[in-house]
Amino acid sequence: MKKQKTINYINYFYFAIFTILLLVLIAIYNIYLYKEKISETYHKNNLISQRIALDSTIKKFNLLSNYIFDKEINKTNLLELLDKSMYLESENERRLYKGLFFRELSKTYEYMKKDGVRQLHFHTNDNHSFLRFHNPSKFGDDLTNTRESVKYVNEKKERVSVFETGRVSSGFRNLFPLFYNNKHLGSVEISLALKSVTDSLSEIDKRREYYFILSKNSIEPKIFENQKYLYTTSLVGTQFLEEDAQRTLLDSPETLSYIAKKINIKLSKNKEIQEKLKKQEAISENIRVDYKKYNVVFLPLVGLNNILEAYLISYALVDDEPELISFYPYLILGIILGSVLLLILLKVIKNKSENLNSEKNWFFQINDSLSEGLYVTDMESKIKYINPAGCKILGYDKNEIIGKNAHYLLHYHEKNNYSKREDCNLIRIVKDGKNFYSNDEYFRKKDGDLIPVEITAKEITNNHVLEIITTFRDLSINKELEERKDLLKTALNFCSDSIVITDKEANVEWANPAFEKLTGYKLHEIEGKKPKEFIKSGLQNEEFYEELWKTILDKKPWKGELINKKKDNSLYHEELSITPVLNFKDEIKHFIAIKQDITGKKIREKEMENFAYYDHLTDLPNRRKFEDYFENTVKSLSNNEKHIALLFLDLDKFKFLNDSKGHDYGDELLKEFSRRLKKTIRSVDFVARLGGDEFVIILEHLPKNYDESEIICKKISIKILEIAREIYYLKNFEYQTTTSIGVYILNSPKENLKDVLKKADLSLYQAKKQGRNTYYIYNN
Amino acid sequence: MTYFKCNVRCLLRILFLLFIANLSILAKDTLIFAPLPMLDKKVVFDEFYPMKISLEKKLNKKIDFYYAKDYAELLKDFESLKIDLIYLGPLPYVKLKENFKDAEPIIHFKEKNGNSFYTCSFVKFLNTQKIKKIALTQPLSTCGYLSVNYLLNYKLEDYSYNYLGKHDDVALNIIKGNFDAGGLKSSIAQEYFHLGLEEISKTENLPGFALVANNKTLDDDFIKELKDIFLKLDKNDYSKWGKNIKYGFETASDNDYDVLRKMLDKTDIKDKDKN
Repeated sequence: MKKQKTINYINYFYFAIFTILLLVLIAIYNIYLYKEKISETYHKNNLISQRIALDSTIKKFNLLSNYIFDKEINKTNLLELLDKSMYLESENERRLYKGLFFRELSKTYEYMKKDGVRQLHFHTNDNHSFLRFHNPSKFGDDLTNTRESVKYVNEKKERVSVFETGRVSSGFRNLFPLFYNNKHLGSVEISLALKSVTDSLSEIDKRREYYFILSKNSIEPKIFENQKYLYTTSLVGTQFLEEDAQRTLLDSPETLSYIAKKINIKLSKNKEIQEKLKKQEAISENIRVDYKKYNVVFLPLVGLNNILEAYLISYALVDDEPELISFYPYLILGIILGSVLLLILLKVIKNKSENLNSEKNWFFQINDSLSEGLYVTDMESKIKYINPAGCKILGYDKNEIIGKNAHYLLHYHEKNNYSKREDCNLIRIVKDGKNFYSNDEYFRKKDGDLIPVEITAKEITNNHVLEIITTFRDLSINKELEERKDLLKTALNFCSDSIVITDKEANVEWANPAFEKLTGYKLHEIEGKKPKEFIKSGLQNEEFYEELWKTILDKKPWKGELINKKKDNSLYHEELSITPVLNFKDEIKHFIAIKQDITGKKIREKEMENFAYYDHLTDLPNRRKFEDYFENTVKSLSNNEKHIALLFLDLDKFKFLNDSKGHDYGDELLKEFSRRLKKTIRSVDFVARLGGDEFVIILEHLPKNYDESEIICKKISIKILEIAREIYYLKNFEYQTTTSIGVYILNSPKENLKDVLKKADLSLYQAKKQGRNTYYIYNN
Repeated sequence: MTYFKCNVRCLLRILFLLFIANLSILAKDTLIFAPLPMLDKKVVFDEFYPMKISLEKKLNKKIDFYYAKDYAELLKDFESLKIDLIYLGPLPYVKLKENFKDAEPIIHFKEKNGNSFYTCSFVKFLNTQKIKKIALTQPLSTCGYLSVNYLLNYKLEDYSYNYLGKHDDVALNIIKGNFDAGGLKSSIAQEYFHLGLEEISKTENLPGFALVANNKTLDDDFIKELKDIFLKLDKNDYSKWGKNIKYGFETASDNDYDVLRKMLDKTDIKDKDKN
């Protein structure tokens, strides 16, 4: 069956899915790239703003340090005191001037502390600690290996500003070389407390929390043993230490907030962050903690030798994140959900369309398979659709008929009196909202022939437009079939053989007139009845019928002869053949019985048999019959169980009667004698006329004992002699005669007829010899 | 009968006290240790943190620092059983013992020179000629009023004086020129000699700083155990401790303070500044 064309977009469904997925992927990828770019810019801006904040803080501190140095420290009187405290020969004088130097600068140091300065530290030009204002009792230790900046400023003799870890504390340091009278005295260092930095940064951006972590590698070798307690491993990573995390010291930064600690723990598990920290990179990252997003910025602080000294970390609740970043997951989720919904929608449309197409195809297939013609017209009879069967019936090609007026093309003809469309019954009835049906209409084919059609038409609605659907069936074939059916029916009705059709239960459904003629039963008398209920003669035994039913129920035809009974109770012979009729499931639906009356034939057969085996004068079996019977009887002998006897007899002086009175008197005598013999012998005995006046009698079932058998033979022989002597009335002529009997008794199956007849004949001869009217038993 | 009643009452009281004492030590997972009140937190940590860690390991107990503004508050809190162990100079101990018999010195911390005794110095700046204004640590500081008065031949009241609290502040204020002289522990004074501080005189050997146990919050067995721990400590352990406690230990007893009690006989310590 040719498949109908489906709607195009179904064919492109997978292409559409692919396109949608591709577009979604491209959109997601582009949004991702855009988000990454925005994110990068956002984090870059965070880094820049934090760097600017830090730089401005450091710059402020540098300005303060420069001011302190230039205005408060780098003064001749102070430098002179310092020079003396360092280089005077007398120790007491050096102590005195060092004390005076301390005294002179101590007030300044107090002011400096208020401005956030943490340390004021003087070093000798050989890098030894000379005076720590923040810890005056500690001095004299060599800083060469621990303080790169001190070494640098003393070597280069130039100012330097740097973040550096230290022996007592770490921080941002400004170092200045000290000269007095062009003599390099050493250097002074003004360090900013970390707390000052964090406080200053917090003033710039109050939303952020700041914290320093120090490089373990950098600080661990420097710190005094008894101050190690101040340093604890950072939560960010084991490569970092936190200074005075418990805030033991007053100038230590505030302890970390709970959220910042949680962020640090999370960061410690972030491999990407850890990798960046190893590379000493600046980092800005958004971290989600307790369902809130925080921005963390890591600014690396490197020392003079470009080795990482510390990181400044800042934490802030994210409130300025670009919307695209904030809503990126939702956007992607939205796109994915949207596309999934779109795909589901497409899938639903596809399924529905497929179902629709499938139904349409199914409809088309049904429609194409119809043997009836079908066409659809608008209300003006313009043909919009016609099925292939319709085209075939009418002889048109589809394209020839579409658009034509159905009425004038098909229904406008002489059988319809060329009625106009307005007068057409079909259109009128349908327009009245009724269904039209007729099996008496004609359509004109393309070749001009009119064909009888059965039409059904009704109104239908298609897209809110009224249409008429008309189905029609070519009745030409039906009519032909009808004619054939009539022919067959006639043939069956005129068939000389009786035909009976029954259902599978053998109930008569139909019988032809021949059956009525044969049995005398009319169809209406036997319809629904089983044949056995009305024609069974009872002359066939049960085995016969069992074999018949077994055969036909095995779906095989049965043929045979039987005697049935007519309505008038007379019997008749029939030759019957029964054929089971099977349906498509190979089940028996009917039986067809064809009967032939063979009564005449049977009678003729009987007559033929009588002619061959019976004596037509006496109706006794003739010689041929006797021979067959004797053969069978002798064969039945075995093991000397019983005896049989052959009595051979003839009428005495029979020839005389024939010669004297004529053959018709002789024939009468033979007939009467035969009747008397038949009455005399036992029912089990056999009597036959061999010819002329010769008769034989076979006595069967004689005892085993010979003598007893002989006695019975004697008795029967005497009785025969008696009945033979009785008077015969031959055509009113009284006649008396006798008979002679030769008896031979045998019990062996090996005896042959010829010998037996001979021995019986010899006995008959002996009887005749003894004066006739007697018997003689052959003596072995 | 009366005798019997008294004995029973005494017995019950003793049992009650024993019960309280045992209960308190049994309940203690954390010991409260009070360092010198005049030290700032950083100095306390510098000085006592390694010792704290070491003892925590040995005792399998946590030790918390207890901070007080001054000696008076510290001694009051010790008597109120808020403190189990206290690092005390000799004068505060004697004053404490006067009111609280259950204060029991366990060990003395040795000085750098290996002695378990120390001295207090009366110091001034190198070029100071005339002494009018004297810096003192605290009224209950051994090196405060008591020693300075003693070193001034009991004539401290002829000068104006101020209590500054910490030993280091006494030294620095003299160097800065805020005071003409002052009294402080000799070992601390020496750290500031490089800034022009010089010693005028110093006392005889006084019993050193001691670790004093509160016998009401700690039982005798625990105190003995603690003493044994100190005396058996390896030098490698304590040599990393703070500068004033890292030179070893010696058994302390209340008799060591008799010298000081004699000095006190002649001194009426004033607890207010005199200008």
